[in-house]
Amino acid sequence: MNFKDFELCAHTNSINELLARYGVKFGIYKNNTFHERLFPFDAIPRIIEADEFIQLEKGLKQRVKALNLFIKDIYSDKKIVKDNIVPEDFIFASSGYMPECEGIMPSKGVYSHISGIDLVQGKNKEWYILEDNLRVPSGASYPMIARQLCRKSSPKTFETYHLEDNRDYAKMLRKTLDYVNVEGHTVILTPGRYNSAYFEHSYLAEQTGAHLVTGQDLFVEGDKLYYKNYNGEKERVGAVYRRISDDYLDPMNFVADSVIGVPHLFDVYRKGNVALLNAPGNGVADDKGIYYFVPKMIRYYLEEEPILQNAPTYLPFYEEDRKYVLEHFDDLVLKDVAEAGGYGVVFGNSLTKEEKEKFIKMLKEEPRRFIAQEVIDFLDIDIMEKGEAVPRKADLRAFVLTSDEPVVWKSGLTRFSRNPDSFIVNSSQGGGFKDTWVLSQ
Amino acid sequence: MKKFKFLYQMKLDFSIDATNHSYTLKCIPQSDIRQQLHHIEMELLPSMSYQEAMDSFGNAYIFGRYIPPHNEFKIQVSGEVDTGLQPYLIEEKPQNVGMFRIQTPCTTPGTAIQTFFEENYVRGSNPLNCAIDLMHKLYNVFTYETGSTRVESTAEEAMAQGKGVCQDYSHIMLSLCRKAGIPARYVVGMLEGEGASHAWIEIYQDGKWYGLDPTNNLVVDDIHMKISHGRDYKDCAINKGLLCGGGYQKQSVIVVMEELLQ
Repeated sequence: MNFKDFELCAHTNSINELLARYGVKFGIYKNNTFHERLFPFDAIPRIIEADEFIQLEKGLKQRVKALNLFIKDIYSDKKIVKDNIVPEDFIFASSGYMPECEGIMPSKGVYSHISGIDLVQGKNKEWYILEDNLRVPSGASYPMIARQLCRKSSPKTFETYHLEDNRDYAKMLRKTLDYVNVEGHTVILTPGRYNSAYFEHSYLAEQTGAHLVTGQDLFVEGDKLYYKNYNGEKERVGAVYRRISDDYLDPMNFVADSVIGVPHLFDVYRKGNVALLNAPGNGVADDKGIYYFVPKMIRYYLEEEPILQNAPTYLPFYEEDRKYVLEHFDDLVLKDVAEAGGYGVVFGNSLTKEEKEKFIKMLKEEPRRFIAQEVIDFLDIDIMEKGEAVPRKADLRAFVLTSDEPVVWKSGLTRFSRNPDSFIVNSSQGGGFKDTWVLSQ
Repeated sequence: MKKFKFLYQMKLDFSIDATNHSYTLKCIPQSDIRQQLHHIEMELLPSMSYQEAMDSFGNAYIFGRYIPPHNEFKIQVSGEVDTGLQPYLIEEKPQNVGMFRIQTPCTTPGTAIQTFFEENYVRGSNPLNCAIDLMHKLYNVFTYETGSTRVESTAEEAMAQGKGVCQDYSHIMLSLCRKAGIPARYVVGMLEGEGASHAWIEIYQDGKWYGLDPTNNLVVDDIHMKISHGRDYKDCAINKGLLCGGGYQKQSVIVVMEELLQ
């Protein structure tokens, strides 16, 4: 497609102005201070053909299904460990594993209700999974609102191209929330307006009709969770779409000085009297070390071949892999399994001699802490810069919502790096976003 | 086998009224194959309704929130217990034992524990003998001294200064056992006599948990009553609270475990 005369591009500035007015912002903590910045929108969409999407959809559903079964297994029988598919160390030493969740069965047995699966497309057109985000994945609101503004700016574009409507996300989300709701209201629990994704919290609340609340608005009485309405009356809450990490959910059970959580929320959850989305403890499945095992999980739980591939990954934990990593150090990207948001990512060839030696020493001492991956030759996609289309690295966060069955949203968040030399597209590290179009024919 | 009458009482006195008091209390012993409880009575003051629950380690606890102003808060648990019915506990979920092999932030070894381990660790004929050997050697170099450590002190901090209380003995033993690859867990309970609550450890061997009391350098037999276990003291905190006001608070604990002669 030639984007030179692409009508939407002419509206880039006005759309970005509207996004700013709606408060579509991204907050970043840097050196302990909070900076809020706009999340720049680029009008050239990522386009996914209809039949290509069908493949993606199948692969994503399969993956999320297996991940859900894995989490359920880990917090109960641990068959996958007994059967020697995943070494015990990768579970118990993972920072995402929470012993407090042992034996808890969440409402309807769903653990990862909202999954954000990050993919990249290689030059060979093949899609690769980069990582799974099963804790509190954010980002769906950006393509939602961008699409809405694009339709307003250039209705003609949407007459010309036949694409899947993505404005149904709120409906899908509501269905996911209602499916596990135990009894009572559905709320979105936000840490507050200084959170990096606050725009999203408020937007999703507005779009789904859920109450937007902070920890202060909720309380536990007896063994149930309540919400105080505007008249000061208490009303039962049956589902909490929490946008707070596990550690801060409940000061009586986790970080004691958390002021954004709700005392005893976890106790009520344990008793099955409220649904938490996503389930606490999911971090055990989206750990970068566990990523290596996801294809094995698919074979183990579903007895199917994985439809979507992982980026080729090595685990220095295994001696054979460690040897390979040391021999091909300069060709690989190394990731610290405990870090997220594009931090703790090191390209082998970017290190000085001393840095490399230091890193290798660390790798040998704590092999479980790292994974190594081949650098994928990304298929660049164009962005508009000063009136010119220029290629940039980009990834795709696909959203998979699970109620009785996983459903893939026919859109997604495409993030690109602004810096032409950067391979890191995480929004915590700068960069902007695009709409993702799924063609309907 | 012995029979005891026991009492656990914890009282908080607030210098000014406390309100909105959320609490979690983990001080209810349970029957298992090693100990059998009878006539358990529990009392909360001020009198209030509370919820009963079981945590993921299998410990019983109660929780609730008391909203009205109050300047004291008391829990009392009493009853009778038969102890020493078996020398071990059976693990019903062996798939979970691995979590007790992993160091926690407060058991992670530093130089002091590392050095002690290197100088004293002998592989032994089995994990239990190996742990008992480490316990004897630790007992010889570590001094019991109240007030020398804080609740938050780590195993390494205690080891470095060479003194501490039962919590520190236990954390150091956990650190050493885990370093030797032996799953080990922290235990809170009561010991024959009068005083405070006590802490010891349990180590895992062939599907069974054995108690070791490093503070007294002995294998747990029939003078201990267990209340709870976890990865370290944090999983077993007897009293957790969150409240408004309260001013200065004073905690007093009474523990009595007195043998009933038959």
